[in-house]
Amino acid sequence: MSTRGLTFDEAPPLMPVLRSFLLAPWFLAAAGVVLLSAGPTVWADRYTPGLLAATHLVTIGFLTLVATAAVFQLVPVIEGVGIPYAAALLPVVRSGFAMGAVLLAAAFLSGSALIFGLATVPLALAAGTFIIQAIAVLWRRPRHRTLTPMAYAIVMLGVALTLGLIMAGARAAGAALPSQLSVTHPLWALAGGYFVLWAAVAAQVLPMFQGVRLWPARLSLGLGPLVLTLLTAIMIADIGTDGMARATVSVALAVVIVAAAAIVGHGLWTRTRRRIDSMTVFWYMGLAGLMGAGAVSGLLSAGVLTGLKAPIVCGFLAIAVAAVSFMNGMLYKIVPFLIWLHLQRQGTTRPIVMSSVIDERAIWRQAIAHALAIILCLAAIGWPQPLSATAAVAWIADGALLGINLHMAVAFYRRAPRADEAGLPHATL
Amino acid sequence: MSYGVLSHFLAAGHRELDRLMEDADNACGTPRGAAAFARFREVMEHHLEIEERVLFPEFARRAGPGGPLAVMRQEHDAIRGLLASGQGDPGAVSHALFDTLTVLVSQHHVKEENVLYPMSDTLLADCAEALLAAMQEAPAVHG
Repeated sequence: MSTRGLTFDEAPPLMPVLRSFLLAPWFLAAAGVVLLSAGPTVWADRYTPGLLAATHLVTIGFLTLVATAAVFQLVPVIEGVGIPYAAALLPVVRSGFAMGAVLLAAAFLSGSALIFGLATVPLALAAGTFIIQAIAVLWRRPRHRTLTPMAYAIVMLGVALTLGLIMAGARAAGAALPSQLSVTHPLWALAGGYFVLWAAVAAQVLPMFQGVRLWPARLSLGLGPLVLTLLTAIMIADIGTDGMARATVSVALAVVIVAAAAIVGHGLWTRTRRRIDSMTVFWYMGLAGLMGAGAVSGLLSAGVLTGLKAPIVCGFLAIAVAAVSFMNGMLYKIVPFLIWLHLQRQGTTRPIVMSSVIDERAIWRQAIAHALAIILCLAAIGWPQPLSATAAVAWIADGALLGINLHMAVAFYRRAPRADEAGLPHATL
Repeated sequence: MSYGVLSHFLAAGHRELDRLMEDADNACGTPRGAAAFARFREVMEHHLEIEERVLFPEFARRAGPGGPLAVMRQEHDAIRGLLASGQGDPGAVSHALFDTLTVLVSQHHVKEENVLYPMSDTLLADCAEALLAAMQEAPAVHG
């Protein structure tokens, strides 16, 4: 039996991964700046230019940058096999998504067809590079409770990105597209991409970091095909303009999402490890967002909720409360540990623990800022006139504090005295 | 000998270590904190020892150069370093120490259970019984 490739030191080097993590929070802050400059009318409906710009700064600039770097980092830990050429590809993926997020936000704000066209170039490059490389590795691996749903999530994220590129291309060319695409695109990104990716990662990290045992492996293995089937059924119902079938399948999808969030929440609540750390708190916030998004989405699909505000609330709960909170909590585990492990392998001259890397009080300050930003933004959706500016400033502060905390970690890494500057193979996780 | 016996035995050891680490973390700062930490350390040292003395040499002999053992040994050393930093002075066993231990030990177990142990089951199938007996009979380590 060959052990070629199974060496655990195939993770990408530290700095390319950290650069993605360091850059991402500033897109949260940038989204806040867009909301602030757009004013209260930004919350009028989900298609205002300011809200579309802010949304894509968060989804592409923050979520996608963090998710792609985390996938490059996690796969070698779980399977001992790295994504080939990770060190060379990560900068392409990072700069492509970062540039694409900025150009797309500028395109929404200006309405310029040229900028829409320009945005598709780096986004297509980054998406193509990441998806092809990740799928090429993951699809060949044996069925695994984390990697199999991760592969499905990346495929569904790929569909969402492709639909997004088609929409941006159509705007660039001045062509008309079916309006249903503006619903299908976020549905595949959020329910297919980020929800399934979250479930895959949760099954791996919650036992590790929180002592929580989740669902059996066969449920993890079945989640990707289940969500893919439901999303495909919704798409077919849309094409056939079958409103009842669409509503039924959409409600079923919402039930799956709420059930998964409830199971994780129950696991966290009843765990035997007594201590609550910052990840626990961020994940509770995320779970509240996920359950809320699932519930609102189900009620919208069933026709119980109507109006322009409910879709904004649903999107905000799914993106800003659920996805951002989950990733925020994970960053406070992954970044200090990567830095700690690299310092260990380079032989620090004094003993350190992970909490030395980022000041615990700074993490809790950001957790409070994040909770406040969520509350204020949700309130601003209902009462934009008095609250939109305050909510936007809170969102800027939240993103900036996360960015500063992660930069503190890198500053700690650079300052730490080493016995062996050359270092050993790349640390993984 | 059925396939997976090494995986089964060693992964069961991990579950016991998870339980002891959680117990020691919960007891940190309480009167039974030092005893819980000492128990966790003793069982962890024993687990690392049987892997390094019994499993790794035979694995290295069969698998040849390269493979996952170098990183596994580095992480064993890092775990031992953290355990040693909590030894002696009761005040040195802190929640901060457990935060680091939890992440280090958990991701180390994931790597072993997903890659090293399944490979061991395959590579060492013909001598699994003898290796299992050697690991079960290895004397406990007293730190």
